[in-house]
Amino acid sequence: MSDSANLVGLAGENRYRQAELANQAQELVNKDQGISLLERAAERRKKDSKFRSFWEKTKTFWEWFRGNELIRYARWAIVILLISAIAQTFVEWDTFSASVAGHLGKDDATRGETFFHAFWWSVVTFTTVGYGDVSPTSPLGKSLAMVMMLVNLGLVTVLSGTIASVLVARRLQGGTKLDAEKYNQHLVICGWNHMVKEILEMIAGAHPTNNLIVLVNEADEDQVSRVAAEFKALDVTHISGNFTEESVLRSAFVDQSRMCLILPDTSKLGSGEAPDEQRTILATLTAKGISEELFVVAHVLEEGTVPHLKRANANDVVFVDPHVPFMLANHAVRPGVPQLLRMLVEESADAEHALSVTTVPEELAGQRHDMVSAFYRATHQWTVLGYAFSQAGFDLEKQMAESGSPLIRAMIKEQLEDAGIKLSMDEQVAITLNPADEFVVESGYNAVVLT
Amino acid sequence: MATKSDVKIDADAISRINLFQGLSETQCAAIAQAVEQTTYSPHGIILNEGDQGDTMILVFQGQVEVTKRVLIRTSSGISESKKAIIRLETTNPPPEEDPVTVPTVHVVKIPAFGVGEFSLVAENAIRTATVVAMTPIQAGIITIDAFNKLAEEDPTIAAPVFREVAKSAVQNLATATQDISNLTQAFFFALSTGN
Repeated sequence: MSDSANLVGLAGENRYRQAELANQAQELVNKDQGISLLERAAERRKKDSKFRSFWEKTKTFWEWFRGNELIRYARWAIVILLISAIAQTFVEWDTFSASVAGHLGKDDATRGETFFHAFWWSVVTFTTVGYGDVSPTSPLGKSLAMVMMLVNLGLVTVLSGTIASVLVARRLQGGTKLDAEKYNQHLVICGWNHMVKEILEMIAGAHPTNNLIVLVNEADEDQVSRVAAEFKALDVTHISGNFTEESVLRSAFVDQSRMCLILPDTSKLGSGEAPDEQRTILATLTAKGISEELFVVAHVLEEGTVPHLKRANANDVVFVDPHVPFMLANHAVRPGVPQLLRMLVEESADAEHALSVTTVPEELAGQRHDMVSAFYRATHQWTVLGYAFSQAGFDLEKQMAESGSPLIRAMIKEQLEDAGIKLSMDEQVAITLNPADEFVVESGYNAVVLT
Repeated sequence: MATKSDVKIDADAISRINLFQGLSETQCAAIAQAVEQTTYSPHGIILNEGDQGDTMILVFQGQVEVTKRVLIRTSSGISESKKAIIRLETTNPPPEEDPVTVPTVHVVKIPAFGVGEFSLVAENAIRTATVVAMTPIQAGIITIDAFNKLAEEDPTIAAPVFREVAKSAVQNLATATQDISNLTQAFFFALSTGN
């Protein structure tokens, strides 16, 4: 069989290939079921005890409470407020009790009222509001107030700075921050194209135990959520960001994920533009860089990208050949062409017509195409579609032979070989389709015929 | 620095030099008068590639190595390297001693030879290669001025010499053209298969 017949053969497999990617995802979902059943049982047992679950929640809260920067500064502020309020209550008892008694229209204020008044004064001073309704009068009270004011000056600056930075950090994360506890053994799909919907459809159809899916792409939020909303059975989250960046992948918790699918991304492209395969490679490298154990499946459109991805350590590469759009488009614009191709591809033994290759008889070498064509028409009722012939390889060493200086020849050879470039090119099969009548058929040519 | 084995520079010695083969005995004698005798010890540099020169060196006895500088790519980047092209050895008389290093290139044996001959036709010609002594060398130096003076006095001296120089220049040019062709091929070859 010649190359052309092989290519057409590939076109026939398209409809199977199309589903390959989604199938792969599905397979993994199923593969994990055995393990996750055990894990789930263990988890359920743990949750049986309500107290334990409450204790765990408290613990989580406590860890968060202790770890949060903002809360740490706020705690310090409250401690200082309390200390200063208590100190002022003692030192400036007369001033504060008289002031609060005056406010309340009483002769005497209780201890609690006086303390609250001192606390009130502390907050008014701390926040730099400073109503001035009451203030320490004794030198000791004033000194304490001064110390507190100076300490507050630093604390207020740090506190407001922290609030600002927390807000900025939240903005940078794109507003979506996933719960690290929840995202475990989930599926991450990087990139956006028309196939995402199909993939989700197939996964939803398989009713996986783990239905957590994170989509990472730069597509329009509305567009993504519209698609995601169709699948009630799946828990789909969208992270908007460049999936080639480590921080973005980390925010999707790829390191805890079951698998990362990387698709050709069309989210920022116009209708005619092809997705950038480099980004697929880059994303694979980044994902593998985050966790070597991560299972990465990449989908590429160009065959040339496949070896790069293998080198980037992708666990599997799905290459859907470009005949899919060709077949689909031709159904619409050139009806008949896909049907014809299928007929030729699905040839059976008793098929009336098929593609075939035959060596042109030596007697016809040197003749024009119209004559050769007429010969096959007359003898076999075949139509000659074109010719296949092997193109001689090229051997640089042979080409250079003994010409020029041996120094230069040796250098060329040595340098090319060092660079891993072979000095000869292999023979290749070239195809001439539908040649002009004047095309001369040379010896050794094979005719590609429709029988 | 005359030793017992010093080659006597006379008409006979001159006639053995490849460039002067077409000259008469009187003409050779005239050239012998213009040549200044010199010697080189092993490893001595006779000509240095890239230098400008207006002298030609006549080697009467000994072996020399001709090297060229080339840029090559190594594991640590691009570096300059000296590549031996050829060795030339006199046969009449043969060298007194064995060469200091074992030849890695072809050794061409001729009665006697001149190097830097392009200096005879072009003023301040660039030396196209480095020539290093491999054995003690008995040599003579002739300047372009001295040769021009001889040619003025006897114009028939110039023609055979220039013919020889021209021959070697044409040969060099042919080789260089082939080299360019080879390099161009290799260049496109590398570009087309490199990806």
